[in-house]
Formats: sequence, C-alpha cells, structure tokens
Amino acid sequence: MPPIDPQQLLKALGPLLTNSGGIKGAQEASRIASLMKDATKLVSRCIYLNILRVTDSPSALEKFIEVGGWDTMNTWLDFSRNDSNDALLGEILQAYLNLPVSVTLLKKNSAAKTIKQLSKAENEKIKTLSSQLVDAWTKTIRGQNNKEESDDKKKKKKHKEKEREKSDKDKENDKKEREEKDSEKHKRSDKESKEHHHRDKDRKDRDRHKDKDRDKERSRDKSKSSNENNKDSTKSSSSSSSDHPSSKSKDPSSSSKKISLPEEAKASSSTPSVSTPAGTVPSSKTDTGANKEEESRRRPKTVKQLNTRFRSTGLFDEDDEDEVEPVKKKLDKPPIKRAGLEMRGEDLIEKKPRLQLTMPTLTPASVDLGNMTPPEVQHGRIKIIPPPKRAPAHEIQESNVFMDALQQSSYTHGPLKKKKKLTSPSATTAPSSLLRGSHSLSPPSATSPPQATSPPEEETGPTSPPLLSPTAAMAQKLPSVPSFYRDTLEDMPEPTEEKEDNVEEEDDGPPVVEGMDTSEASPPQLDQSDADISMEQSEGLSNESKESSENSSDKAPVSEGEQRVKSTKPKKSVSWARESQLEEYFYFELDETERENVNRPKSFMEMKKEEMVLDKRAMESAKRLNNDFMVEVLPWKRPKLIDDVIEVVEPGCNSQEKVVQTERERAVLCALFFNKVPDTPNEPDPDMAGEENDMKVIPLEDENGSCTEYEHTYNFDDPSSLPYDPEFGGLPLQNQGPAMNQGHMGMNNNMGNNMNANMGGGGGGANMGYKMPPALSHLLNTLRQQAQETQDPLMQNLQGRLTHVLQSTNPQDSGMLMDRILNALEPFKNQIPGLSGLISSVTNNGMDPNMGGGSGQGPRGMMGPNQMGNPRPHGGLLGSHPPGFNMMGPGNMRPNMQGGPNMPGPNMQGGPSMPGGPMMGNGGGNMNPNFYNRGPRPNMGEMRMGGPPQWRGGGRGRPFGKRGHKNSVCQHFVKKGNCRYGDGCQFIHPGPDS
Amino acid sequence: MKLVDDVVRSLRVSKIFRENTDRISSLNFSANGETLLTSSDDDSIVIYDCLNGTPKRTLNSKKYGVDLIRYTHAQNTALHCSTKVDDTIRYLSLHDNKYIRYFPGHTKKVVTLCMSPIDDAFISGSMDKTIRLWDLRSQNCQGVMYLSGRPVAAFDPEGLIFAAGVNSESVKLYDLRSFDKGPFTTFKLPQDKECDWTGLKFSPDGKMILISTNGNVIRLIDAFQGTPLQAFMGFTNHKGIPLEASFTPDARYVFSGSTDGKVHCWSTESGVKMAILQSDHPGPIQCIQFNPKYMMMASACQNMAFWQPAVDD
Repeated sequence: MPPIDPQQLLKALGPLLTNSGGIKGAQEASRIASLMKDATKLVSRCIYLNILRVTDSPSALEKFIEVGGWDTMNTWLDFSRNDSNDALLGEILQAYLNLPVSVTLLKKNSAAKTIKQLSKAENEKIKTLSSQLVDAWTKTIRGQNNKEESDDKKKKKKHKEKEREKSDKDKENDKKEREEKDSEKHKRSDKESKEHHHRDKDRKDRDRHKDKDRDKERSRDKSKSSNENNKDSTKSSSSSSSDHPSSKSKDPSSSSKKISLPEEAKASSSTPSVSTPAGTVPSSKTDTGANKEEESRRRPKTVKQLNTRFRSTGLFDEDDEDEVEPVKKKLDKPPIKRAGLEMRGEDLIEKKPRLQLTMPTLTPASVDLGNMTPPEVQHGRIKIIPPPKRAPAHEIQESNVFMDALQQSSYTHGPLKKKKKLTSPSATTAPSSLLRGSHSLSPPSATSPPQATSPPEEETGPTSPPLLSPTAAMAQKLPSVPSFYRDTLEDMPEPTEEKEDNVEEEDDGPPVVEGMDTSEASPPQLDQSDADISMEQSEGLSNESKESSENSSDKAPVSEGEQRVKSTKPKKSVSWARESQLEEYFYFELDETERENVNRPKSFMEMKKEEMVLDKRAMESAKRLNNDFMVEVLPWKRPKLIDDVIEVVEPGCNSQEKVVQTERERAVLCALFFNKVPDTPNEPDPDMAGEENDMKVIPLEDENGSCTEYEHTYNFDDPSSLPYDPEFGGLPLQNQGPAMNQGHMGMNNNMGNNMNANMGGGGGGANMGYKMPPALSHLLNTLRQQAQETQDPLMQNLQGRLTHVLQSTNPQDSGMLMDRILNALEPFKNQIPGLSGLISSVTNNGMDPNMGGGSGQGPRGMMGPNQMGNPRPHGGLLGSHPPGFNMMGPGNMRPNMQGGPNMPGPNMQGGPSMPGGPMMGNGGGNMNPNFYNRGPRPNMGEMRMGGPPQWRGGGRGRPFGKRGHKNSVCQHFVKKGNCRYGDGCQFIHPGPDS
Repeated sequence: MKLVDDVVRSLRVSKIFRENTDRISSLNFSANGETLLTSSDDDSIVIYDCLNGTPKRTLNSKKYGVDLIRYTHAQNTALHCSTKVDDTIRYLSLHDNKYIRYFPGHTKKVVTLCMSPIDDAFISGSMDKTIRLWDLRSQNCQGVMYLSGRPVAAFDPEGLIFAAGVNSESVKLYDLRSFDKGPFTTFKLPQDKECDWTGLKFSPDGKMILISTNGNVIRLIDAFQGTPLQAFMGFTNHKGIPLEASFTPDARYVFSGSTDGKVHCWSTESGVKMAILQSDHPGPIQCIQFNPKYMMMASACQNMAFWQPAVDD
C-alpha cells in the first residue's frame, strides 16, 4: 500500500463532513464508523480521530458509537497502547473526550479500564488526558446513576454538560480548523503536539468551569463550608495537575493543603496520636516533587469519584482496576495519583475519608437511620448485635443496586471486619457510653483513625463534593446496610491511615506483630501503646463524630463512599486485628441464610438416591399388588367361640418351660419398639448345659418285633372314582346306585386285569378307559382270559383285533364300540368255543351275560382263585351269580377270614342281611396286599367299572378288630415262606390247609 | 356356634393384612386362639390379634431368617427354624425379643416342626433326612431318627405319641415314653408317584391323620391302622408347592389352599367337597389354619386373610 495522502483522504471524506470537519449526521456517522473499522494506517486513523474530535452533533456521535465506533476506538486504543505510541494515544484520548458516554457503554469493553490505567502512565500528556477522561466519565456515570435520587446532581451535571459543550464547541471548532490546516501542512507529530496543547488549554478551561459549577452546586446542597473548600481545593488541584505546573492550580492546591493542615491539627488536638502522624505525613509528602503532589491531589478527585461511582453506579471494571491497580502502583510507585494522594495527603485524604467515614456512621445514627447507630453500638456488644445487622444488610443489598452490593461485599470480605470487632472488645474497656464503647471497639484499629480522619473530613471537603450526590443516594437507598458496611469501610480506611501515619511517624520502626493483617505495612500502633491512645481517640472521635454528624448530614454518606474506595487502596495492615479475631461469630445469622444454599447441592444427590430407592419400592409393591385384588367381603366382627371343639388335653399342661418363661417375664421388661424394630432378636444367654450327648437313636423298625404293621393301598386313586360334591362343577359323584348292576362286570374286569397282566398294556390298558356296557366288557374279559389260558394263536389273533378295535374307537360311543367288536369277533365265532354264546349274550340287549343263560357256557375254568379277591354281593340279582362265585378258591378264602360267615353264597340274595361296608372293608383291607404286590395299580380299572361304592364303603368302615388282631396275612410269611415272629406273629400265616 | 356345612360354606374374607413383603411361610394359632403368629420370607414375625382382627406386633429376624414358627406353651415364646446362617432351631421370647435357646443339629433346611401339645418336647424333621426329638429345656437333641427321604412328623393331640412320615410311603407311630424301642405301629401306604408328603397332622380327636403333599392330593388315613379314608383332590397345585391342609377344631372338615387363590373344603366323614371358597389371594395359599377356639380361619400367601362366616346364629 502506498502511503496515504491525508488530504486525499479528507477530500474523499468531504461529503460526509461538515464545514468544520465534523461528521454531518447519523447516517454519515455509521459510514465513518465502517470506514474506521477498515482503517489500519496511522494516517487514516489520525484523520478519523480528528474528525471525531471536531464532530459537534451528539446524534452523529451516538450513532457512531452505536454502529461500532466504540469498539473500533477501543481496538485502536489497545493497539496504540501496546505499541506505546503515545502520540496516537493522545489523539485517541482526545477523541474519546468528545464522545458521549454512558454506563452501559463503558461496560461494553475495556476502554474504561485501559484509560484508567493510562491515567497512571508515565507520559504526562497521556496521563492528564486519561485522567481527564476518567473524571468526565465518572461524572457522567454518577449523574446517570443518581439522577433519580438527587436533583442536585442532575443540576450539576446539566450545568457541567452545557458548559462543557459550549466551551468545547467553541474551542474545538477553532482547534479543528487549525488542526485540519495543520494536518494538511505539518507532520503528524507536529499536529499532535499542537493538538495536545490546544486540548490542554481546553481542558483547563473546562475544569475551571466545572469547578465553579461544582462549587455552586455544593453551596446549593448546603454542604459545609469546609467541604466546599476541600472540594474546591481538590478539584482545582486535579485541574492543575492535569496542566502539570500551572500556577493557578498550584494556588488552590496549596490553599487546600493549608486548610487541611489546620483542620488536621484540630483533629489531632482531640486525638494526640493521630495528630502527630497527620503533621508528619504532610511534611514528608510535601517533600516529594511538586508534580507528584499535584498529581496526588488530582488523584483524590478521581478516587472520590470512583468511590462514589462504585457505590452508586458500580462500574465493575473501573472499580476493580481503579482500586487494584492504583494500590499496586502505590506500593511500587508513589507518583501514581491515588497513591500519591494517599501517600502525600494521607492526612488530608485519609483523614477526609476517615472523617467522612466516621461522620457517616455517626450521622446516619444520629440523623434517623437507626441502623447506622446500632452497628456501632453493636461493636460494643459485639456478639449480639452484629448478626442482626448483617441480615438487614443482605436484604438491602439484594433490594438495592447490585453493584453496590458487590462493592460493599468486596469490602466487607476482608478480615478487617473481624479485626474491628476483635479490637472493639479490647477498646471497649474505657468507654462508658455505648457510643464510646462502639467507637472504642473500633478505635484500636479503626476508631483511632476515624477520629483522626474526622477532622480531615472537614478539611478534605474537596473530595466530598463529588461524592455528595452518590453518598446521599446511598444514604437514601441503603440506610441500614450502608451503616453496617460503613463500619467495615471505616475500619478499612482507618487502618490504612494509621499505617501511613505510623509509617510516616515511626518509619516502620515498630511493626506490630498483629497477625490480623498480613499486609506489608507495619501496624502503626501496637495494641498496648495504642490501646490508651485508642481510648482517648475514641472518646475524642465520638465527640467529633457527633459534631461532624450534626454539621453535615449529607456529607456523611459521601465520606463513606470515599472511605470505601480508599480503604481498598490502602492495603495497609490493620494492627488491631488480633483481638478482634478472637471473636468471629457474625456467622450466626449468615449460617441461617446460607444453610439453604449449602444444602441444596448436597440434597440433590441425596434426593437422587432417595428417589431411586423409592422407585424401587414402588416397583416392588406395584409388582406385588399388581394381581392383588383381595377385598374384604365381610366386616370384621369379633369371632365367636366354636362350640364343638375337640379338646383332648389341656394344652401345655405338663410344660415346665412355660413356668420358666412366666418367671422370666416378671424379671425382664417387655421389649417395646417405638420407632424401628431391631433387625434381629438378642442372642441367647450362653447355655451352661454341657455338650453331653445323650441323644438316642430312634429306630425305624421295632426291635422287639412288636410293631404292628399295616399295609394299605389306595382304592380311590382314580379321580373319577372320588367323591365329588355335586355342587361343584357337576363332577362325577360316586355312583352308588347303578353300581349294583355293574358290580359284576367290575369283578370280571378285575379278573381280566389280573389275569392278563402280562399281556401288555394293549387290551387291558386300553380297556380301562372305556365305558363299555357290562355285557361287552364281560365278553372282552372272557376272551382275554381265554387267550391267555389257551395260548391259542387263534385267540391271540382275536385279541389283537379286539385291541385294534378298542384303540380306534371312540371310548364314549358304546354302541359303535359294540358293533365293531361284534364284527371283529364274527370270523372267530365258530372257531372259538363259547364265543358265540358270549356274543349272543352281549347282543341280547346288553343283558348281563351271566344272567342270560351264559352261566352254562361261561368259561368256568377261567375263573382263577384271584377273582375271589373281589367277592361281592349281588344285591338284586337273584340266582344269576357268575359261576366263579361258586368256585371260591381256598387260597383266598382263609378259614379264619371274618368275612367268611357272611360271604355271599352262590345262591345268596343280596338283601338287608348283607353285612355291607364293614365286612367288605375288611375284606379289601386284608386281601388287597395280594394284588398290591403284583402290580403298581392293579385295581385301577375295576375302580372305574363300578367297584368304587363298595370299596369305598369298605375303606371307610372300621375294622372289626382292634389293632394287631389277626385278620390279615403276614406278608413276610407269604413272601419268604417264613416269618421271624413265628407263631407270635400277629398276622395270619396261611398254612397249606388253610 | 357350631361348625356345620352352612357355616363352612359361608366363610368369607373379612380382614386382609398386607404386613409382609414376601411370602408368609408359616402360621400358628396360640392354644387359646387369641393370637396368630406368622413367619415370612421377608424375615419378619408378625403377631395378629385374632379377636380384634388387627396386627399386634412385628419382630424381625433378619439375621437368621424365620420359617416354621410355632408357639410354645408360654404365651410369649415361640420356636422357629432358620433360613439363614445355619439350620438351627431357635427358641425366641417374644416378650423381650430375645432368643432363649438354640437347638443346633440339623444340617439342612428344617421342613417340619411340631410342638408337643402337653409338654416341652418338640420334634423336627429336616432335609438332611433326620427327625430329631428335642426338649425346650435343653439344647441337646433327645433323639434322632435317620431316614432315607424327606421326613414329616407330628405329635398326636394327647401328646403321647408322635408320628413320623418316612419316604412319603409309611407312617410310623412312636410312643414318646419308649421311642428308642422303635415304632409300635407302621402304616405302609403306596407311594405317590408324583408327589412327596410335606405335612402330617393328627385330627383334633386323634383318630385321623391328614397327610398333605406337594402334589394334587391330600390323604386322610386312619390313625390306628393307617387305613386310607379319603383322598382330597380337585384343587390346583401346578407348581409342586407344599400346600398346607388343616382340620377344623371339630375334626369334621378339612381345608386346603391352592395355587389359584381358592380355598377348598371337604368333609372328613364323607370325603365330599363341601365348598370352594374364593379368596382372590394373589399368590398360592400355602398356609391355612382354622382357629382352635374361635370361629375364624386364617389363610396366607403374601397377604394374610382372616375368614369369618357370613351367617350368624
């Protein structure tokens, strides 16, 4: 890029500019702003800056800022600062001066910070410019913040602004014209230098105007005369400082010094210790260069402004930087404005803040803000009072401007609070009155300084004026809270002052051990030596404070603000802290409020866990109760006693342990559980009984053989044979009646099963599931027996066919079954003897084959002895007994069998004389073993066929004899052929004869 | 009030307790019928007041678990077996929630436990295939019987005899005075193919023995000769769960639960099913007993239900 010709550029920009060189209007401003963004060359930048400086119309400037000019300026500022291009910096700063500023704007970027820092730069031009900027901005900010609260401030601002504008316009116009010309003709450096000069002049003028305005305003505000003086001096000093060695500025500054000194002297007179440092300090600092002094004087302005700003507006960036950086610089370099102020005018400045501080505390209290007084009083009472203050403070903070809260809190955070309070107790000793006590408390660290400062207050009037508005606002807004913080703030500045004072006086000679402050500065006064002084001071302070409060109610708040700012700067250690540290309880109340906050994060995880558990439980219960539809159908009533309870013995009649326990319960208290039942009962007392093992083995068999053994079989395993209540689902009830006619069949069936046990499940098994007409089943059984007996292949063949038929036929359809069976038998009809007879009997309308003349044809030989196992009476069947009945084999019919006499004879007619159940029961019971041992369930089939009634009757009947009577066969004897009991056996040993 | 058919058929649930979070494993009425003691798989012991129909007290036995809980003769003492740690039987004083004595010996889960009706003897059977005879006053076992299968055992109502069911096929009766001489009577019964005997009870009159199984049948046999008297069936037990069956105090009826929430009742005389009572128990009714003195019945799955007749006379 070729070097830019400034003139060309200006020409190009001509349409956008007014005759004077300023921006025409809002539209052009946005244009310029965009152009500026792209401007990288110094030439172009300088031109733009000059244009800005000359621009008159506020709307254009606002537009410019709005469109991004503010940021652009900031980037330039940073750039130039990094480049350490002081000339450009100066240009930029001047341009800044012309820009309208608002709080939001200042917060927008770091311009404010940078400029604040620049105000401490070495280059005095820049320093003055930037400090000017800072002053102007702080004013605007204050004005914005306090507009609502204080009309006075508004007025001030308006006046200032108007005046500024006027003066600026006039002068700037001239300047711009000149500058334009210069820029065209001369190099940049020349321009800059000239511009600087011009600007300086302008500034001076402005400052003067401002000061005058302020003075007027102050007078309006009814501020004290002293304050006015102070303010004037400070402001004048600031203005003078900006101009460096301006005779005008010097005069006011010197006057301010003088004024301050006498005032200090007054204060010191009240408090000897303080007074001494005050005197020394000024002298020491006055030694430093006049420039420094001037700068420092200027500083106070900024400091004050900043303080006030912070309170009211709460500009974070500026505050932080102002506070922090100045402090640092103070430490390092005294020349820094603030540091200088403090260093040099320690007495003045510090005392001023102190005075203000003390004043505010006193004033608020005395005036009407009960809060103000209580804190101090609290100092005396330390423990009790502090907490209540804080609570209100919190509330106020929240309700009021956020910025204020932040600042205040930042101040309060330090250990200083504790120190004060700690010191307070020590100091409390002397003071009789509460006020004194309160002061005395603070005095060791804080009170003494405040007293000293109190006088300065009056002297330091200069600081107060700018502060006035903010402080007033503060007082209005935060009556209670501010008071509390004021205390802390007061304490803060006090130590610093003391430090300085002490340092000056003692020259760091006696650094007190006070652990309170780790700060560099040595605590000016030791506890011991200071204690007395502090006492005195406190008294004096209290008096002074009262006076001051009476004098200036308005100033008090301002002083607070100043104190805060200063306090932060002072970094000095507080010597009085140690005792105060001993007491730190303020946290009582804080705890309460904090508990919630503290608990929240904790409770979150806990809540999570709890919820998990609850969910689990809910799931389980839901699972469990999912199908739980149980409902109480009846209302509960006290149950009645049952009448026919069978009680054989009195329960527990022989129990000894019962007695033991009753005794025990007399001595031992009943366990009552109100909250949680223990998981496990208590362990038993150690049992003293030894491990003597007299355990007997209980044999399974009777050693003596005297055991009565019974073997039984279930006769009613088949569900269909079981008794069912007709009420329930129409399940088959035992069919007692019809069984009489089928009983015969049952018998035959049984025979068949027994006989053909080895024939496999084919016929026999299948047979069992069918409901066949009696005649047919008889036929089948007969055939089966024949087949087994004869082993005739023909019979086998027949059997196979029958089996096939049975298996392939619906068991329930007896008619079809019969037809099929008959068809199957037809081929064999003539081949097998007796078959035709059987068939005919079957076809004879289902008549019992044994009745239909079948007896003659019946296979007599088939009837084995075993079929006698089921001898039954055929009630109603006269003379139609199957042949088998006449053939009762000796093997089954024991001679001594009880049923013997009652056995149904062949010709016997079933009738009332029949023994019935009992007899049969016996029979069944005793005879079954024979069957039983042959197969698992030999009687299954027969049960279905009609046996049940009889069997069941038998089963239920009581045996005739008692236990052990010889009514059954000895199993051992039958099986093994012998019995170890021999003749002594209780069971029958069937002999060959029997 | 007499227990007659109509009364039995009119039994209805009149109280439901959901005190337990798990299956109720056993219950036992006190001899006077005024309280009911239950054990649960959630390791809690709940005592109910049967007259007021309320839960009376709850104790925990988290450490050892609790099963087969039985009153002893003192009013506030109980005997229970463990489900945790070991299979020791524990004698607990409910009065002060303290164990009085332990009865170690069984090495596997105890499946049957019966208190003598008259004195301090009790008998226990375990899956370790032993039956042991004890006395409350001594931690030492008084007698042991070695079996070849799962045992069941019970005292007769007079407290003179105890019956041991062996291998689900025979019942042996021992005289307490000479149990070391062997059984004086043995009943051999056909072994049921599909189920084991899980409980054995004498009827209150001592004339019958009720054998409950984990299958679909309950058997009633004569107490003198073992003659099979009845087989009660028709209830569902599709899970092979040991379902308790109980006599009424007059020995005329037998009640049994089922897995489908129904309660079945049979007459011991006729074997006829008297009633199927709907309870809506959500789980299998494993425990059911009739109060020995009062006209009420208790059934339990996870929930405890008290039954009362709907009829008044």
